[in-house]
Amino acid sequence: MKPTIIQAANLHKQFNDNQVLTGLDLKIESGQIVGLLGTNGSGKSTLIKCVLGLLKPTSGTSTVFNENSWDLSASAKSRLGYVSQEFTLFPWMTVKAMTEYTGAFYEHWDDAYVTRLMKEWNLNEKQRVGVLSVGQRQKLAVILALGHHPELLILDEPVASLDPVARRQFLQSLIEFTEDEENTILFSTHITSDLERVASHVVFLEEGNIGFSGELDLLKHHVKRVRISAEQDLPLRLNFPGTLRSQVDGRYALLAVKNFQTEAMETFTQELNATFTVEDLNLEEIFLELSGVSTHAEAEVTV
Amino acid sequence: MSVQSNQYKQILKTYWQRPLVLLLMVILLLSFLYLAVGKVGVNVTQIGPRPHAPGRIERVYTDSDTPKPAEKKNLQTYSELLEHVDPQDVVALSLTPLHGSDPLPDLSPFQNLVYLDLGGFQLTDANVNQICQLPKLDALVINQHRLPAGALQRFGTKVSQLQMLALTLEEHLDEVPQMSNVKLLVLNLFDAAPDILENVVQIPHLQQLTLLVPQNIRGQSRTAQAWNYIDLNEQQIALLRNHPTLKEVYANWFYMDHVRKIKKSAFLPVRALPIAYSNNKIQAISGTVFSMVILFSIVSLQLWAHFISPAARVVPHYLVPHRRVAVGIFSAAALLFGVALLRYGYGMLPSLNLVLFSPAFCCLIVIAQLSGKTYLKWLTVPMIVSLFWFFLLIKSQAFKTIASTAIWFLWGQMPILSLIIIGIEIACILWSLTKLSAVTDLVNESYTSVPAFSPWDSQRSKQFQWKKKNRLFFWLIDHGISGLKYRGGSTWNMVHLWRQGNTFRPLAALTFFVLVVLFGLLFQGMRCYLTGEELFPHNRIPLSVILGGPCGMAILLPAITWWQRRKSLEVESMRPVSRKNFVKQLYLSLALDHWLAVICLIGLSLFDAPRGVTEVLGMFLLFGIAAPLWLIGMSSSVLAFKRSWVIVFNMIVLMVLPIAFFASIAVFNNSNPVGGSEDVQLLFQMGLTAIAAAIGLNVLMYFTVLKREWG
Repeated sequence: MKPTIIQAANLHKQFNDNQVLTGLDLKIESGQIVGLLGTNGSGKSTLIKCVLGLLKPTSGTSTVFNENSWDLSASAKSRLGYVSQEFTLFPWMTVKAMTEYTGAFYEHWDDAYVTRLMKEWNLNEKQRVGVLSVGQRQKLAVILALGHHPELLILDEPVASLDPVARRQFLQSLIEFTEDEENTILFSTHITSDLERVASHVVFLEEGNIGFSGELDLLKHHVKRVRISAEQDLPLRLNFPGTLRSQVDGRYALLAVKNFQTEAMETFTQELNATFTVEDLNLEEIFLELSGVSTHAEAEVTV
Repeated sequence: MSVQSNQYKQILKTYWQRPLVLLLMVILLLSFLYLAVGKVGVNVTQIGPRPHAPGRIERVYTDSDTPKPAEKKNLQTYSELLEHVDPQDVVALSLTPLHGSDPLPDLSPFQNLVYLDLGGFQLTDANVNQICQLPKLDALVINQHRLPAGALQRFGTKVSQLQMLALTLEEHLDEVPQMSNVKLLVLNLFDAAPDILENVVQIPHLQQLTLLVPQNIRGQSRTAQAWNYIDLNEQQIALLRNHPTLKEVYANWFYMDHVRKIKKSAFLPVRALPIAYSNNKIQAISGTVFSMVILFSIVSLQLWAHFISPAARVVPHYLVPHRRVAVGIFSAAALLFGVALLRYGYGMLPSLNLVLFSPAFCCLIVIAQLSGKTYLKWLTVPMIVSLFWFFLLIKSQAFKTIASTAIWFLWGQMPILSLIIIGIEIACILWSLTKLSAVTDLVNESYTSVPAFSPWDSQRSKQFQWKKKNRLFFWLIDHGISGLKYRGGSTWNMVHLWRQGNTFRPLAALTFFVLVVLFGLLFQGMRCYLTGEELFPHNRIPLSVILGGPCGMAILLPAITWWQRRKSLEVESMRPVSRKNFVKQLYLSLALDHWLAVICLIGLSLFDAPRGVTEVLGMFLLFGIAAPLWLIGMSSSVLAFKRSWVIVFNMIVLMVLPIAFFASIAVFNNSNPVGGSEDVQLLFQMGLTAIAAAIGLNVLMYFTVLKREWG
């Protein structure tokens, strides 16, 4: 059994009257690359900050490396890297000075590795940080988080400002990061194609709680789109268990189903005297279905 | 029309939707109430010039064979002074006979004496000879009715500052025209006939005249015509007015002002100035300047927020109503403050000067800071320093040095200067209003946010201002940052490291201050070489005021720097340091950044402090330990709290608390004077209490920072 890196139990976080996390349970084990998905305001950044001890949970517990997140020791912190959404850096420092300054806090800072990454990512070490573009600064922030070879890397929307080439390089570095050692990554993103490319696990946040947590393949296996075609008009409400969304138009219906089971669907369609076809969904479509905002499928229902 | 009024209503609403603006509004309201209903004429400070002592006045009594009475045990005798002090070091001496018949002690050892108060000794010709042979003597106080023949003439040719009884002058009228060196005469009008002024004006080079009317001897005058209050007739006014060198006459003009309604212009070109001035009136100046800074902050915060918003660029005619509302609020508030100032006896034009001063000044600073031009940005440094100077100059002690011109100006007697200043002030404000659109465009394209002060896009590139190379600024802050390596996790190493991430370098600031002082000295040296004046004239602005500006910056800069760094502390809190150590190291870093301020505070407190060891120790407890500790506690607000308005509120409260505490102690002390060793004891008690309170504050702030969420 792999060691647990992050664990949250019954985690609540409230800002004034706004309940952001509502009794969330989460467990991330060593070696997992976990993509954190959720709509805006679903609590992704709050969860990450609670896990890192940047915010104090209203109630519940959160641990990293089996230490209380709120009171992480120096050794625990030396094993993790963090890139925040705002990646605030010192604009008056040169890139070189910025890496040296950050490295001076870490006993095991790898200068050679940092230099290599800077070269690969085309960062000029003599430039002032203030001169860098947003994307370049984001690259630098990621490099600074990787320089001490952390065992756990937590990134809050790390690729939002990167161009496609830089994103690809970034994803490659994440793969390298986990290839050699049993490193763990937790990252939040809205770019599901990136997540699909590297994540082994997905956590879907829904109104401050876990909507789904598990392997990416399992998620894809569990959420399906089903097209039903009947001899006569279908009832307006199709009460199939796990239905996320249904749209009925005469003899045709389109369902998005969670925890899909073929046997149950066969029984259901037999009762309606109908036939069905099952379609796989990509992560973006699953995200849209799970978050209940899918609209584009409406057009397909009559096809 | 209704759409327009609704629009204005909406804009006004935005003013009380921001907690920071609301907080500033409350402060502004309190300031206005203080100015509008506060006391005006009490708590006076003497501004009429007296003979000036260039250093500590050694007060000594004559020696006596009989033991000193119990109530005079603490008094220093002449021989005791000679035991403790090298007479060559004494520059100011006040002598008092313990017994009426005591002769004047030997003054020949005091060769560097500049100021001498002769108490009530009966002077002989020998005494007069000895006094006149003191080589540096320039200020003399004589309280004798009778002097040896020719003494007054000899004194008058020796010293430039003289204080004496009018009766003495009456006794030696024939010697008055020979008092050729006297420039300042302080005349005690006790029991003198009103026509004494006819003799005073015979002093050929008199420049300043202070007329004292002792209040406690009313009704006991030698003659019915003796002075009970200053009431000059036309002829006497003309005598003063026509004196060729006289510039200022200080007296209590209450009767002439309020009963006889004589205008000050009747004396021109001589200035008729008050002998005492209310501290409340002086405080009203700083109160107004401070209030207008607050008003400017309120208006500019809101105006800026609207100007910088995307709506300003896409919605047609978006800016005009916002600008109108801002100008309307500013004008209404400025008018109210201007009217409130009239209570203090200030003229209409000077009131307007005061009201417009800080907005105009702030406009210049803001525009210079946002202009993107390096030299303009650097200009803000001397501007801010001079603002500190301004505040220090209008403190009661420093105010004395500029009192005559300042009061004359505030009375509205210099209307042309007032109008010129108003013109400049309005031009600055209008210039900034017209510049604002262009500056916001520039900012929109090239800057990022000032944290929490505006709704700027935090992701926007800050590229523009960092593209310029070889700037002195970089050298000052970036110097020594390269080649950093891990040196172990000791507290000292880590504190050093945290401080490297700041843009504030106390050493660089100190270098800058030293350069300013050196250039100042060089300038003063050249001036005195060319003009032949003293290097440090006795009526100079106190050194504490001169150094106050840079010191104020040293006090404020650490807090401002850590304020700017707050945002990066989210990521920095994830460095390999436990929460407790992180907070400890940050707190120590912040404290260490105050070292320059600590030196300044100690230095400033000792410049004007009395010289006794116990007093110096007491002052050191207050300003060397308690004040820096309190200052660190106050600055730590930027670490302890997240929201800007909470930080500002906390800092204001922590700034006001000690001022209120010491003000109440001072008021209590003034109404229950104890004097002597009990004063020193009180100073010690205050120092120890202040240290305890400052330590308590720091403990409280430390635990607040410990609980702070960095995310």
